[in-house]
Amino acid sequence: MSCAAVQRELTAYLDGELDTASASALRGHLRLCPDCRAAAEDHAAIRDRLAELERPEPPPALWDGVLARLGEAEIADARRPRWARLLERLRPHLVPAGLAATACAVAVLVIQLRAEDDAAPAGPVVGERATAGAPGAGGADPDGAALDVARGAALGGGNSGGADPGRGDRAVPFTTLDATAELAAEAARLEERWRVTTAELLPLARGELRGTARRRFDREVAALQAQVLRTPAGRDRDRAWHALVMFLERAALGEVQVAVHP
Amino acid sequence: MPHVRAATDHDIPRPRPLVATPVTDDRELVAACQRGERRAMEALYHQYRRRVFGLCHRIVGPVEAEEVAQDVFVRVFRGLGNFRGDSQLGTWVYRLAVNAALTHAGKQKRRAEVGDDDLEHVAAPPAVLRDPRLSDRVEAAMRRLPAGYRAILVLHDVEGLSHEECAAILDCRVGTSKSQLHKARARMRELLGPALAAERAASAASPSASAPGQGPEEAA
Repeated sequence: MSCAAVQRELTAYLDGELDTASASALRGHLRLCPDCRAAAEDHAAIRDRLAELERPEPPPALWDGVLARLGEAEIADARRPRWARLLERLRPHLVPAGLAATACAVAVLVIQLRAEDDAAPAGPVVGERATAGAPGAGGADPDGAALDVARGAALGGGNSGGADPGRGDRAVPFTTLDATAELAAEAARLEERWRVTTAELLPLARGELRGTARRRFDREVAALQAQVLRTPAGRDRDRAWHALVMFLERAALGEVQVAVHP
Repeated sequence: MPHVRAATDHDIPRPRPLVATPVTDDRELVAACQRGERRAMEALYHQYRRRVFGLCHRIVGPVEAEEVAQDVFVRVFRGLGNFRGDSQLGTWVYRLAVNAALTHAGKQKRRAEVGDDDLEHVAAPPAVLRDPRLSDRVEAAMRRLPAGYRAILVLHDVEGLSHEECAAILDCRVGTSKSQLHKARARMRELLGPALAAERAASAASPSASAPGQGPEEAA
């Protein structure tokens, strides 16, 4: 065993982590090598002296100081507006939703740019077909089914992909297809996000209402939901969703006196 | 809210447990603290006060230890809502304490380097066995180590935690904890050189007085 190896293993040895054979070899080296023995003795002395150090007694004022600072923090909580506390409670849900929305936006942008670069003449087609594809993509599975529906719509209703005999399989550029599908899927995702947001806000907004206030709140929500269902997909439905979510948000923050203004 | 003098903590009513049973395990203790029960908070404080204060004392020094320990307990009680119980309560408290102390030590370091005369205050020991002042010199030498080395020495050698626990607290691999400990002890040896040599000479002069089971010579 070399001196370098002993130096390397010294801490493990002193802490009892070496197997019997290695420990024996190391002890054998220490018997023969005064330098390593001195190092081992010093390391052991440091270890022992550190273990003997007593934990200092905390000053009695420490607990009072902790309580005082907790009290200050609670007063600060009381002074924070209600929406800030609500946001804090919602934050775990908001961050993933925000990230997903950003990712969607970036994906759509990239696909649009690619579509414009690769197939410049197909550019306007992307927009038209996206609008056509959106109503068909209102399904619950935005990534799978909606994509297929949108792709089908982009190819002309029930026809299978590339069935147009005059043009063959590549008649419609892939980039155009992808962008159309992606935009339709994005519409479905947006719809889903409205739905999730509504579901999250509803119990928060309704939780503290009782009696007449709760009944009026329920009536208002039902009316706004009916408005959403009545409205065809597109910008108008987005507006209807927005009205519903804004109402719930204001109610959750206590800004809506539902009982007074039903 | 009008500006009035805030009531002291003793004036604030606290939730009381529905069933007045003594809190026996960490999970119950945490749940009771999360509800703001005063008795549980005191129990948690008393369970960890010496460990937290000792750790802060050794990492940031005696002057600022109280302030940092206070900060640690505020973080503990305010953060209990985020404690998910996937680690031991003790590990979690230690982690908060180490992080707070190391952050504070970082600020201290930027404020001023520790004076080199720290070790000179403590006179070189006369050649007596187990010089009582070596402990003072060990503490003084510790204060001259980088804060990270201080943390591993306190956790492993002073508090007696395993490398697995140290790694969980320091958020590193077990191997890193071991190598840090080795480097920290080696650095301590450099700083304590003459004092350790004196101790070695003393124990060589009267080997019979050497306590059994203390060092590498135990199997000799």
